[in-house]
Parts: sequence; C-alpha cells; structure tokens
Amino acid sequence: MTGVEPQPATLADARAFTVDGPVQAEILTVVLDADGLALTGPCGAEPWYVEVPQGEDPMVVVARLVRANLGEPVVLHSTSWRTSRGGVVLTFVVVMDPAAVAGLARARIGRAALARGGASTAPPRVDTGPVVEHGLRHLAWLVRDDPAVAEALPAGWHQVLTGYLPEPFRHL
Amino acid sequence: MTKVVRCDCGWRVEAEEEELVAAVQEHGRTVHNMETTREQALAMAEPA
Repeated sequence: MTGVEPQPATLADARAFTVDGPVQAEILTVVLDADGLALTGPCGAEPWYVEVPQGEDPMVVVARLVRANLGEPVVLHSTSWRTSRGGVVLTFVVVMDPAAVAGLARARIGRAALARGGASTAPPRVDTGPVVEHGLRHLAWLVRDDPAVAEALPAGWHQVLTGYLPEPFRHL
Repeated sequence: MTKVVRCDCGWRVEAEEEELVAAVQEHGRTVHNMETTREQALAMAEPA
C-alpha cells in the first residue's frame, strides 16, 4: 500500500453528502459530437467533483476515477485552480470519445467571458462557464504546443479549438 | 423503513437500511473518491 488512505467525510457535513476536503478535483468531461462541444459526466452535464486525499497525486486520482467511471480518456489535463468549496479546487479537462459516454446526459458548451482578477489578485467570483472557457482555451494552446495532445486529439478538435485561440494566433 | 439519500451531484438512492448504506458507500468510493462510514451514510438518510 502506498500513499495515504482516503479520509472519511466529516460528520458535520454528513447530511450534505458533498465532496469536501482541502484539495478537490473538478473534472470537466467534454466531447465533440455532430452538434459541437458538449459537457457531460457521471454526475450529469455538470462539473464532477472528487476528493483528493492528502498525499495522493491529483492526476493519478483523477485518471483512475475517469477510467473507472467513463473509460479511457483521449486527453486528460489540468487547466486551472482556484480556492472554492472550502478548499483548493484543481480543474481538469478530460476529452472523451463521444461513443464512450453515449449514455450520459450532455449540455452544449457556449462561450463565456473569462473571470478576471487584478494583476495580483484572484477573480472575486468564478462560475462554471468561465472555468470551462478557460479550460478550452488552455486546450487550444496545448494542441499547438504539446505534441502528445496534438496527436491524441482528432482533427475535428483541432478545428474547433481554433475558435478558442487568442486573436494573434488565429488564421485570418 | 425505506430511506433516501441524495448526493449533491444528483445521484439518489432509496432503499432499506443495509442496501442504502452499501449504495452510498459504493457511490462515494467509485464516483467521488470518498470513504463513508455506515454512521455517516445513515446520518444523511431521510425518510422516503
């Protein structure tokens, strides 16, 4: 056995059955289907939260849960972090083959303005839309910078992610 | 007595005590990486 065993949820929070703890992972499961980009996941078309126990590698925890609940990811990458939900929330974008998650609810992903903070301060509020937008912009950068991501993503993804590039990098 | 537990993620189970505890523990472990004791599972339960 390695690492630290998962800690039980606190009794004080028991009634809520809510993911808590000092480090939580927020998994944004995204697919590209015939109608465009969509958010999905085992908890519906919503961000999926998991606990990351002390001493465990968040990437390892997230990869294990994604494989156990959804199947093999096309791409899995951490894209941002923030303080929220009583701890530090690490956001991961996981790209899945639409066929692998065909039975799960989907919601179309629209564009959103990013949550902006000051030059040295975090945004006062970060909603799901801006987090998804940031994740896809991060993926748009990765697909041009990281050969592993570029190779893993199908051609359709390359095309749709051009819409998430900052202006200076767009083809005009 | 049948009881119900609802997870924040939308998952819901309605069952007798033993089955309910097992389902809550399984959901917490497999979907959210959470370990839930029997006492915690029952504390979350409400009459169906």
